[in-house]
Amino acid sequence: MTTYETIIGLEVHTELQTDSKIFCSCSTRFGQQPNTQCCPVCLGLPGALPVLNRQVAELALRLCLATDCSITPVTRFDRKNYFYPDLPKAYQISQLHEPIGRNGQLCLKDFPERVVRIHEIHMEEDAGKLTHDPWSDQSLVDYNRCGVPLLEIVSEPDLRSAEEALDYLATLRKLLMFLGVSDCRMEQGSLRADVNVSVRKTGTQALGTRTEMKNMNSFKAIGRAIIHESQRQIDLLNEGGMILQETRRWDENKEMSFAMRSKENAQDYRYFPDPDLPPVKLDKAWIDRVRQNMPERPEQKQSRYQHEWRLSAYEAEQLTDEPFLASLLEQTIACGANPADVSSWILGEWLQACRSGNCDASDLSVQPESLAKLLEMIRNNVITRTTARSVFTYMLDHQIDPESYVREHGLAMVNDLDDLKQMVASVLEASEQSVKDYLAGKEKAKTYLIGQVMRKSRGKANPAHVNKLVEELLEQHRQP
Amino acid sequence: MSEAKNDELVSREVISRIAKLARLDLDDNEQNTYEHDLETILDHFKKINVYDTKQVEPAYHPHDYENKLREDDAKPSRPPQDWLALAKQVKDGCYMVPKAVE
Repeated sequence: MTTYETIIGLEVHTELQTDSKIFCSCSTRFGQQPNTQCCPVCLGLPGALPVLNRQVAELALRLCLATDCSITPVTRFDRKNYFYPDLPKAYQISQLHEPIGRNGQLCLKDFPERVVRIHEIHMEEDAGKLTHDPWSDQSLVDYNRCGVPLLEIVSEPDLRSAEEALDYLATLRKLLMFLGVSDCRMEQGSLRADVNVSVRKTGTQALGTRTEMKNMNSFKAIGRAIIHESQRQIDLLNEGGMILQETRRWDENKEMSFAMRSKENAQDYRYFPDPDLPPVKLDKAWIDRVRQNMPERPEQKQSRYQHEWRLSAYEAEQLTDEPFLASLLEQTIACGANPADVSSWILGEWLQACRSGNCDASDLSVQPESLAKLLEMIRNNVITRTTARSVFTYMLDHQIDPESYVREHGLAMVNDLDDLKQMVASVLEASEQSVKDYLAGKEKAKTYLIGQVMRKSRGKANPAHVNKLVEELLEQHRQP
Repeated sequence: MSEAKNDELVSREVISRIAKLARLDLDDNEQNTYEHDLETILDHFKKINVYDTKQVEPAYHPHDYENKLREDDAKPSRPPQDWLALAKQVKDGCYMVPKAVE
């Protein structure tokens, strides 16, 4: 039986993290009342003149440099013409002839041998949002998103499986977030992908006819869509059929894709240089300045955490999963806490609190200074980890200084040997059966007894002392 | 752009379709005027098409300047009613248009 190879190329659209739109001063804030962030420029009223937002060029340069693109010395904007109600000007300002970056690359995380070539990166404006109104059977248009800056990152068809495509997306997403280019909130549409899929007989070189699925905004859907689309094409070829070059729509609920429009019906966008916007010259001084102010990339952070702070590869990877965790780690260490302590607390207690509260890591309001103080109290044997956990839980809802809180509530660790001895003795007295079990050789009984002492001390007893005292007193029971 | 296509482009049907999409009410006289004007413009391009411009750097922009940029400062927008008032139909703060779902 013939075997096939799947070929995938991705066009990723990402909304930039700017305050204002790409060509006017309207706000880019998400989720506001419809049409409240509009002006003559983004509404395409006659006579309005677009002016490029400097930060858009800066963020685009950042991404181009981080993906080893060659920078176009003089970059320009073109008009892409089409009639559709989400686009009031009837053209989108984009870049066709001189995109800001070309010929870049991105290395995948789990497929180290696969280097994905980036064909180009270009700047453009987002379109408005259409919703269907079932009452009037008409469409409603909100132009708030119109003119929000986008970068389109076009890969070469270098990906060979759904797993590789998802790796590419995850790697790119992380890079965009750490560079401060985009918040990449997929549920808000700030990262979307057009997925191009074709198949060819294994061992052959020529690319097969491709189909495109547009505007996909969840990793899960993209993975499923690629698997289904490549299988659909293989089945079709095996039955002696032909692949049509067309745009298909992926229906996540039905787990099927449907033909939308074929190449014959494809639009002619009548691209031409936009006469409203002068060219943007990216000289060496500008590029050097962007390069110098480039935020640290996730993989650079990972290796620094391992070398400078002796964290494990696993910890370093987890802590660079999102910019917030990395910055929490760095700031808490900068407040004087021990790196290993901070790492273990963030990956343990902090993330646990997020899971129980069903929230994002950045939703917890504990400040790095307070976390550092809490961790230093554990390190200096002022409180036990158990006490620290309950103080931390309290800190989630209250602005407190953990040191004064511990002092005022008498939560300091009990180190006094006489006090502890008394506590242990009374526990052993009350747990006759466990003592017998231990003496009969059941080690587990000791753990239970230690637990009882800790409980009696409300978590404050010095665990090392308790361990030692329980052992000593149990041995005394052994002697007649 | 080929010559044959130029002739098709300025047909009466094209003029009335563009007018409809742009919500322009053109009477017969006006349609004639635009048909004539557009033909003149396209004829002009036909003349330019005679020349071989393969080696010529395109004039991307009419003016000789670059890097006209603004800082990333968001400013409050005017009330949406100012713009919604220009539309033929509105609903719930949105512009209402004929059903457009792909």
